[in-house]
Amino acid sequence: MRDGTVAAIEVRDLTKVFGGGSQEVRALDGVSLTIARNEFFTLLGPSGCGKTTLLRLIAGFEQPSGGQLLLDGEDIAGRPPFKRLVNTVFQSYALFPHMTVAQNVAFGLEMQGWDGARIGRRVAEMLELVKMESLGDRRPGQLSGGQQQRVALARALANAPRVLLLDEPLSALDFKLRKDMQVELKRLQRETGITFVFVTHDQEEALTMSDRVAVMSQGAVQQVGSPDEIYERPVNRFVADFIGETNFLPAEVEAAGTRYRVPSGETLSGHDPHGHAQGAQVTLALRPERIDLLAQADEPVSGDLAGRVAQVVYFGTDTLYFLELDGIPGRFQVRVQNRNGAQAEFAAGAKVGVRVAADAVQVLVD
Amino acid sequence: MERRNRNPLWRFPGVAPGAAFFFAYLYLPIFVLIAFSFNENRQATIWTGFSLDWYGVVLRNDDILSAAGNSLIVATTATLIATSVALLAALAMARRRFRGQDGVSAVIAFPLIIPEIVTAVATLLFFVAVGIQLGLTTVIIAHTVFCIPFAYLPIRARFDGMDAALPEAAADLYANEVQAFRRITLPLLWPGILSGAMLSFIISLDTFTITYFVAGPGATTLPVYIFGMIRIGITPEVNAISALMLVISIVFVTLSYLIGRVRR
Amino acid sequence: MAPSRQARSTPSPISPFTSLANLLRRSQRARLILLIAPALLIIGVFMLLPLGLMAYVSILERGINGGVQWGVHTVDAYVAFLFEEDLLGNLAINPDYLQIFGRSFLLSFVTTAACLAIGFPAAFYMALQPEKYRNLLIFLVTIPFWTNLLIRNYAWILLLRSNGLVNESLMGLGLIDAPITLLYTNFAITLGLVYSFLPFMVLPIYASLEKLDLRLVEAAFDLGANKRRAFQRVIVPLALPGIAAGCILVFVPSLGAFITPELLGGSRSMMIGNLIQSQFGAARNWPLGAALAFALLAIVLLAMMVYLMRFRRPPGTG
Repeated sequence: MRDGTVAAIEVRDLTKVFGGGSQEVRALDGVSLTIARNEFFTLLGPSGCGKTTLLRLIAGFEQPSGGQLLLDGEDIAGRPPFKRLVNTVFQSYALFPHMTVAQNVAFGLEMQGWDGARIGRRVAEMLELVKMESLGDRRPGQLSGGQQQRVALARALANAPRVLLLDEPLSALDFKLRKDMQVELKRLQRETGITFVFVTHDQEEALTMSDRVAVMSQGAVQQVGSPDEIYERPVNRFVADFIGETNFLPAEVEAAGTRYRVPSGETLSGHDPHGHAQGAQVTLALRPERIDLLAQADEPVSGDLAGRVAQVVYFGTDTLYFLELDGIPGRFQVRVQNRNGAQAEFAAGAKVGVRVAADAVQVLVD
Repeated sequence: MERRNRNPLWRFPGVAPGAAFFFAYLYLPIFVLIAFSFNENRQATIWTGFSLDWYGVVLRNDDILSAAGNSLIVATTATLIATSVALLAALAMARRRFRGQDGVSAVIAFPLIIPEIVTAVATLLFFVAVGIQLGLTTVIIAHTVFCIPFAYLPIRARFDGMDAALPEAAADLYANEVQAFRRITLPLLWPGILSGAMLSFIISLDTFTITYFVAGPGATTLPVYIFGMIRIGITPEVNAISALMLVISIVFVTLSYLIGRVRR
Repeated sequence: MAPSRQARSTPSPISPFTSLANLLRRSQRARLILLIAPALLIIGVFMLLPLGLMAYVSILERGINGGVQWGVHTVDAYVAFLFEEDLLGNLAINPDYLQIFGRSFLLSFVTTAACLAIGFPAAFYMALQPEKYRNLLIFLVTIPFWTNLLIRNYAWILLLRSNGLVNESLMGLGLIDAPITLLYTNFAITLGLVYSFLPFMVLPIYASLEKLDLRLVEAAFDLGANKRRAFQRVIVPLALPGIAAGCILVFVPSLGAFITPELLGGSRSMMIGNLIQSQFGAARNWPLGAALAFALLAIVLLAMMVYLMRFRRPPGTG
């Protein structure tokens, strides 16, 4: 680490293989990651990408097939879950149905041998932290989904773990409650200062809550970065496609690192972290909201593309136009904010110009 | 299927009367038997008046009492062994998938599919061949075997209904395996264990054919004794003891049903 | 991992108990075996082994005063099933046992068909009820199963006797003048068998109907099917696995029934179960009894296998 402190979690070349022979599944394939202390770190990916497996390896529910797993610099591979100072918020919450809320929260402390009075104080403190003070005597079955979620958080946080692992904890909640809990989780993480490792398949959740995000696919990490890096500067087609909407354009490098020629002949300036050489065939990624639509009457400048509107979809806050560009295969999306109300500026069939914002083009490796 | 019984679209002709006939068929003989057990007349099938006398006669009959004692000893012992063994097996079977699991399931369910008369013959031949004297021990052994699946299935069902993350959550919260079992798994399985034990108990109490084959002299259980009585003739005593056994079974199975529903 | 474990093991003597405890702690496999072993041992030693022994006894010479002569092998029992020796020592076909097998099959078929006819409407009715009633109804169906089979069959004697409830009612209604013979007939046996095993038909059919998506039936209505056609083309095919399971579960125990024919059947309506039992009682022909039981077991296992191959998906496909 740059600042000399030890990482909360360091994962080196971690591999997990399930089954054997012809049924072998590589759930994790050489994953390396560093998660800093006090960080809200998110593992993002579609189902089956290995994010939950990674979480279960950190928690100790599964043993790695290879590689190293360090918690606060200490190798914890091979240690059972009850000897690891990490706690988990389960997707199903896994609240003990035969115990009250307070007994659930007390369970971990009891197992660590705390005395009764101290446990009582801690439980009260935790229930207050998640705003459940009045419901300590209830059974989990008597609580709503959101309340169960809070109890699960309190139960895990009560142990003051070095790292809190959250396995899609919001997936069972309805939309409104999910939004509230996102804010709540962020608050809890700030107040407790505990490292959160959050697993989700919801890109919006990942972008709004995290300090850093690791995008995973097929058992491997595709990209690690801050939410804006992940969104604005995706390194490959998978990341660009998985997060948000993206237009992909085929292009040829005209000048390495600066200019890229699309099939219609125009050149766009782009950002290339991979250093493709001149003449190479590449793919450009453009976010639909970084593009302006121009009326035919507007003065075209160099780099403007031309096309016609194929379909208009009204979204309330904005309008999505599907275009057919001259000389470029496939459909092209442009998202325009409805600053002037609901009226779409262009109707289907209209001829339009397309102006790409400077710095909006990202060059991908495929 | 969901609730659509009030919608005429779902009224298929003949279904409701068919169901009514079915339940009548199922319960009429039971009610008739219980009613006749209160009949004062010695001619067991002619109703002359209400009486509890025959219950008194039955409960003063030493042979019946000793047969009932044997039945209780057998049922209790077989239940204890079968339930313990079934619990252990269920723990192993529910925890993880392993090779040969289907085979183990098949062996445990095996006593359920073999006709009782075949089991009875095979068990009798086995005891004779090995040279074990027929008596209460042989009855207990035979009962234990077919009680195992009855004890196993409710425990297993309970396991399957349990969130697999619960033991993991306990481990995550610093409970070692013994603590996790004692504090989480066992309390949650308890209704299933109790339910399985009760089912074993009544199955053992009720089993006739196998007992008839492997019970030696002096090991007569209640069903075997009742069979002997029926052979001799239909008497009010038979009605009374039969009604008594029916009611005991029904009470037990009702309790087991209610316990099984707890904390679902 | 393995070499480091070896290096750690100490040469100092340890008690067998500690080493067993260590083994269990380390090895998932050892723990698994220890947990499953008791159940498998009990069933293996006292059920599977005896069944094997029974097959062996069926090829032994019968003892002079009952029992068997161990080590003296013969196929007499199987010959005796089909043939009998006349006074001159010639073998002639003996139809008695075959007749009993034939009757057992016939009665079991009729029982299965009757159970299906009575059980299907009941299962269908139950599946259409709101959930809280459904559980109660299932419970009502299962209660007779848990009560004594012997006693439940005995109850039918009270009903079917010449001065029993059925005859009295029929005479009271003026339908008959004198009591008709109901008890100790094939009819009585069938009635008793249907009564004994009816829940085994209803429960699996109910289970498959309960899972049935009613929208499929609505789709059939929507596509122009009337109730009859919807029933024939959608409901019954989707309930077929349950129907098959129910038929097996009724047919198998009917074939091996002992109590019902013993109590409700006469001397001329013996079934396989009674025949087997008589070989261990009056007839004192254990090898023949074992052979008959073995034949019954083979038929049952065959029926089970056919059912499993036809109606259960092979593991790993679903």
